[in-house]
Amino acid sequence: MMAGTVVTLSFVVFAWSQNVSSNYNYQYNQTVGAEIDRLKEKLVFEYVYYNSTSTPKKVTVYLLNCGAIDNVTILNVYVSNSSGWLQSFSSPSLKLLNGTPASDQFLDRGEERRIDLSLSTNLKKYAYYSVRIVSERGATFDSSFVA
Amino acid sequence: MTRASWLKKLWKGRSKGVSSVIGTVFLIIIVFAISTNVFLWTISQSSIYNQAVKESNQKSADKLDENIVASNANYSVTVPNKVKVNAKLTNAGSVSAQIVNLWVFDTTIQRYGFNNTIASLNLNPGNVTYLTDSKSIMVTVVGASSADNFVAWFVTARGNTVALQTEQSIIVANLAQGIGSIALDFYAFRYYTYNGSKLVNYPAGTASFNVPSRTDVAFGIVLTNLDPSKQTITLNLYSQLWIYFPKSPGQSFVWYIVNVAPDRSISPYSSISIAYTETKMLVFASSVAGGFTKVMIGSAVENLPCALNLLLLGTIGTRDYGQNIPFVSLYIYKP
Repeated sequence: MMAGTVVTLSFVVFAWSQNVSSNYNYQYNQTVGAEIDRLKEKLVFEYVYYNSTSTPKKVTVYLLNCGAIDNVTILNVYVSNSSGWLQSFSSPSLKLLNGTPASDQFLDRGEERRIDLSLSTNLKKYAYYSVRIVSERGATFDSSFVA
Repeated sequence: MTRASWLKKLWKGRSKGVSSVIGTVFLIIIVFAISTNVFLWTISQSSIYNQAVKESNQKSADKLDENIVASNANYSVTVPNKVKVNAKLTNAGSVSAQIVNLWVFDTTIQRYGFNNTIASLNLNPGNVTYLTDSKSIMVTVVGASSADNFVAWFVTARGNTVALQTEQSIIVANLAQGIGSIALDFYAFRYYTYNGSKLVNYPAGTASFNVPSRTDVAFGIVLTNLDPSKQTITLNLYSQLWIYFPKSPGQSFVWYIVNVAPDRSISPYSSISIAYTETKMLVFASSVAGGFTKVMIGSAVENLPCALNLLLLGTIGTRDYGQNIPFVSLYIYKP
């Protein structure tokens, strides 16, 4: 009787532990998958242009997805100078290079897109500024420009 | 206790301590199975991640190995708002490369443009491509003119940017004796004979400084606009090629500028312009300005050398233009 109970309980414990380990494996798999996807993301800045004559002042960023993964989504863009962040932009709109709206809001492999960032402050002429792009997968890409 | 007696005891229900053994055995099996499972899974995931890291590193290495050299760049605006970019592209790296975009920034008017519809600009290691004539790349920059200053860069599919090195700046010796705005390509000098009303072997012609007499001939001259003020030169119908004979004073022949149709037939002069840095081959064929009458060098000057001058007239920008380019000598032989 006791032996039977122990055997039954053992099977129950075995099943439970299998379930727990499966969950762990699944989460680990998800984490590794996300890391790999992040690793595959690569955006390059073709050009960053500061338009000092527009109202409001505008920074236009031209991007190329030269990575190995599709669906790169821009989560945040930060414009900064040497003393810190000046302005951040959440989920900025992606456009085609000529400025017309894009049909989707992500960059597939080999695609080029443009982001227009309207600044609330004027940038100092000939000063050096940085742009940081953070993707939804968590990858960051940096560039700089002279205002 | 033998194995048989242990099983017998178990069967008969007198199994004191046996359940503990079974529990322990199961516990060990569970621990072993789970840890093995997790361990192997972790190993496999780690291997997948390492593979991804390797691929990423390989991509980065390929990007570093990519080495495109863009030289001999020059910019001209022959069509309003369209910057024509000529360049020589060399793949000096160890990996093949694909050009996906060309950016042009007009530093004079602070405007820029791009052309990301460049077709089939792929280079294997060692490949050299000349982006000239029909292969020139046009980039729209509103308000640009040839007199502006430009910078440009290519973007490759791997994300590298390649700045264009401008053609060496014009030095006085590039120009005809340091005078004027148009340079003559001495080595591209050629003459043509006719087959009926059409030029033979046009545009190649005969690259020689020995020209036959008693034959209708025309001349092909390759000119480049190197005007320091970067303006377009428009030649008028009086532009001509003139030869004269020191040993036979008074003997001279003139060929006026003409146009040549795609079927190699001559048509009378119509406006001919040469943009800054543009190289164009012009044909001189007619004895009358603005029309077409063939010219034959007569027998009186056979076996004599002569000097050739190019008398160019027209406008440069909004001003009048006139330049006399010497340098070529010819020998007239009896065919």
